[in-house]
Amino acid sequence: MRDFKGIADTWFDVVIIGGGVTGAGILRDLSMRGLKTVLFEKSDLASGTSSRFHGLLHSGARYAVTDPEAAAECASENAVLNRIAKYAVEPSGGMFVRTKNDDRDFEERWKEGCSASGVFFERISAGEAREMEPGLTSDTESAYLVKDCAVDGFRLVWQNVLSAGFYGGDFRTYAEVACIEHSGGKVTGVRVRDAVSGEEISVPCGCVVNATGPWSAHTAKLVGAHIGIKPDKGALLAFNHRFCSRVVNRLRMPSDGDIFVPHGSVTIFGTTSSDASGPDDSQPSDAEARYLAGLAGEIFPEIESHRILRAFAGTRPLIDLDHAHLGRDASRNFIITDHEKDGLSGFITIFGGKLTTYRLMAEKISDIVCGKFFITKKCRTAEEELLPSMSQSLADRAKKVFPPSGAELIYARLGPLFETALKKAEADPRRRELLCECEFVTLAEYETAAALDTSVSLSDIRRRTRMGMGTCQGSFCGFRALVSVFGMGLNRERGGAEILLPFLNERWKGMKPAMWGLQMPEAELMKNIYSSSLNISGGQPE
Amino acid sequence: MNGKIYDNIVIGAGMAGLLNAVFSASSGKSVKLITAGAGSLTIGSGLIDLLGYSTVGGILKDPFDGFSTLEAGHPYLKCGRAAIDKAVRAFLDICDKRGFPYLPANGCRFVPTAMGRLKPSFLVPPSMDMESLRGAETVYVAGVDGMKDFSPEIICGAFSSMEYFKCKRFEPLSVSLPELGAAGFGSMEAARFMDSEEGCSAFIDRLKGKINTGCGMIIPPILGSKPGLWVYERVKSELNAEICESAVIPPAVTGYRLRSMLMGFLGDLGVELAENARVISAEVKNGRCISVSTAGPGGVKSHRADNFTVASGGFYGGGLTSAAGRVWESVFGLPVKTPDGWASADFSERQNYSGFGVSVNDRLNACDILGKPVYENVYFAGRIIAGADSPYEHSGNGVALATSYLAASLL
Repeated sequence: MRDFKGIADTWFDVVIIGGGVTGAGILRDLSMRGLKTVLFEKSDLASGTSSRFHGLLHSGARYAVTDPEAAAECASENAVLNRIAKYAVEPSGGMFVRTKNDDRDFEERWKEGCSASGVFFERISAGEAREMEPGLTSDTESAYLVKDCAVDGFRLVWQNVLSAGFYGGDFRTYAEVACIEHSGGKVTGVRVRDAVSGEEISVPCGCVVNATGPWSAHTAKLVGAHIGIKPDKGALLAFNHRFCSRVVNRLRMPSDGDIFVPHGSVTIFGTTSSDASGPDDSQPSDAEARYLAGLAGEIFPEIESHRILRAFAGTRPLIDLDHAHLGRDASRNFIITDHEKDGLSGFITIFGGKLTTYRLMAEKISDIVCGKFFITKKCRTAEEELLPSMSQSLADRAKKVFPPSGAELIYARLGPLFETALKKAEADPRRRELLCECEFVTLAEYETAAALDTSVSLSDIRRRTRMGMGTCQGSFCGFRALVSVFGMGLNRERGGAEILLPFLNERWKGMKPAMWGLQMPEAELMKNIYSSSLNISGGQPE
Repeated sequence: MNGKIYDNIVIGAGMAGLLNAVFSASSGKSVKLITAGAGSLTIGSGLIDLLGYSTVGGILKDPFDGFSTLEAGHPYLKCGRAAIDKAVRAFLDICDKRGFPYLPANGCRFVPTAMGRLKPSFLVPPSMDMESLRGAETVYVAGVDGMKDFSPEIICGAFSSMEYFKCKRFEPLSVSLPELGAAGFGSMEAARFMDSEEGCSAFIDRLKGKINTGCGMIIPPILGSKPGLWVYERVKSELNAEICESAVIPPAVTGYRLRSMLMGFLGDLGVELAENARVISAEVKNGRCISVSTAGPGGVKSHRADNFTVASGGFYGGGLTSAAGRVWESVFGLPVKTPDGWASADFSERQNYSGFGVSVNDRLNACDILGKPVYENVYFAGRIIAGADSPYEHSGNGVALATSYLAASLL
């Protein structure tokens, strides 16, 4: 939602700051328990850490040695999300692989750790592993199956927010909390700035939850509180090919470049761990991309012949309580700080953790928040599906206008808005045409997403639909998207080039660090189309 | 036939390859053209940009005004002004001779683009010259109902806010051509429809009454798919309006027209074609290339010639290949110099990779650091040559024209 006036001076029990998966999970939990809650996100939902990771739903195995508590939490939350989030989770399964270059002793400790934390694993032979994943290195010595899955961060966040909506949970995007107001040691409300118009509104409330991940220290500073957090940068590569059919992990002490996650038609590979200059530090360097590509070849030797679509990075909110811990040694576990101890009641920060355990984190903090309102209702987020299954009547109608596999995909991306897109396609056969061929986005779906008031930029619509995230990286569908929004009469106060350039720039930013091999011809084509043929950045003659 | 030794074997069927084959065959040489794909003329707009922007900033009134700012090593500086002038005249002569005349050279000419920008170009067909709309107060921007990738509103919005057009009024308009279907067709399908009498009259009839006489019109490139101006002339005279086709995203009808014209000429000149053939290796002896081998549907074949012209394009064309940190020329494996930082993170900025290519001397032979040719009978033409950032400076096809002409004249 973007309507700010409608909530100005309106009381909310709880204000959540941060539209990542943690904030979205808390919004859902509190709304289900009956608290009147609103979430404010300074840009678009899922535009930060929740979409800037490898998209792995951990089985827990990765933390079996280094963080047994996190391993156990991951194992149980993995099962929960497979139950409640089937439209965001791809139950691909996972594999741990030890090559002859990796430490044998670690394998023993890992097995012990998995057993101790209740993490499922099953030994298979190296031969079986290579049969299941034909691209695997011949250096493979031992392999195990685990319950890793792929998870779509964009969908997970939206589905939480939309599910919260059924219970009255509200949200605003491009809504920057400029000030947390308090009096007599108690939070009284927030001032929120519309990042598009610059206008400010006041929202009175009883409690503010800071769920801003790597930005939480900045947010806490609004009330002068200190949070021990260290943004840590993780770089990743997206390959234009699904070269494994399940998640493949390297069985060694967690290190750089040891996770491959297949998603739809691409594979995400990562990560690294290095000091981030700040929470917004999301641009990998050329050197990082090259370094990662080299590491990928150690597990999948043929990978050099695959095209890298882009390199990207996210910042993790790692806990740095005493500043002694660094990088991967810092705990992935989460911490809840009630700032009542600093003399401010009604302000709570949650930080650390990982996407796989977002629901559990939300449950824990919601328990504390509910306690403040004397609400005794138990958490039900693990019991109810985020998005109910598509009804048979919708599926029957969809079959007539969308190819069968397409309907489920569109439903997963649009959720409750699926019927709007379906009606568009039913009413006008032209709306069944594909706008983005790589990611299978029809005009009907695109226009449905574009019409939302949360779609401020083409990148916002991209996050909703995945348009522009495939092979062409927007070279062709980018212009088509612009034609579509102009056709709908949206955004005409801005020029076409002003709307499209930020989108292209954002695509280019990811292509740039990994521009070599098969990526290079595509990059040259994109640049030639928009700069040479269309002169998108050109000024006017005198 | 494989035993024949040609005067010139041309590798690549983009602008540089086609022109080099035309120029060398016109002067009586026996020529074979080897092509792996359709060539990048089908991607671009068929316009010849010479130099649209000065490297120190700003749109140039006349491309030659910007030559003094070119960096050392730019292909234009290897060719020299005299050869470029001759190349331009030779190109225009061919266009006239083949019944698809381009407008005479006269400084930068501006072409409207589907993005709502003006693109400074140099050699332009009359149907794309924005100057023709100078006298029109009202300019209709007309799209075709249901056609992909063209929005009159984008162009109207952008042009209406330009100081350059302050005396004009832009109006969006939509023409209905249900013969093409409700949706899913592009400018190529529309242009083919306009090739027919039925299509041409339908377009004219449905516009009559919607526009004022003496007005201007900007339209997608749909005035016929074939090289020639008859559709343009007819629509213009029957509607009594000035018309300008715009540059659009691929496939580009206007580039396709130029390609058809040049391919037709090559056929008449008796140039032999080896299509769908990718050059996989070259046989070299004593600093000369003896033959190249191709792989294609008919298997591996060897092609012999006294001279070879490599017009294989850049990364997109396949003339350059890269791996992390390394670039090489694809046929001979020549190393390509690559400064650190191949690309800028800002899409609009200069991109270093655009200038990556083969270093040549002023005879267009690949040369070592001392300027000594590597193979004296191998010439390079077009994008494969290092030193021009064509998307930034808007020299696309201009470098191809100049170097393909010079290479042909050196045979």
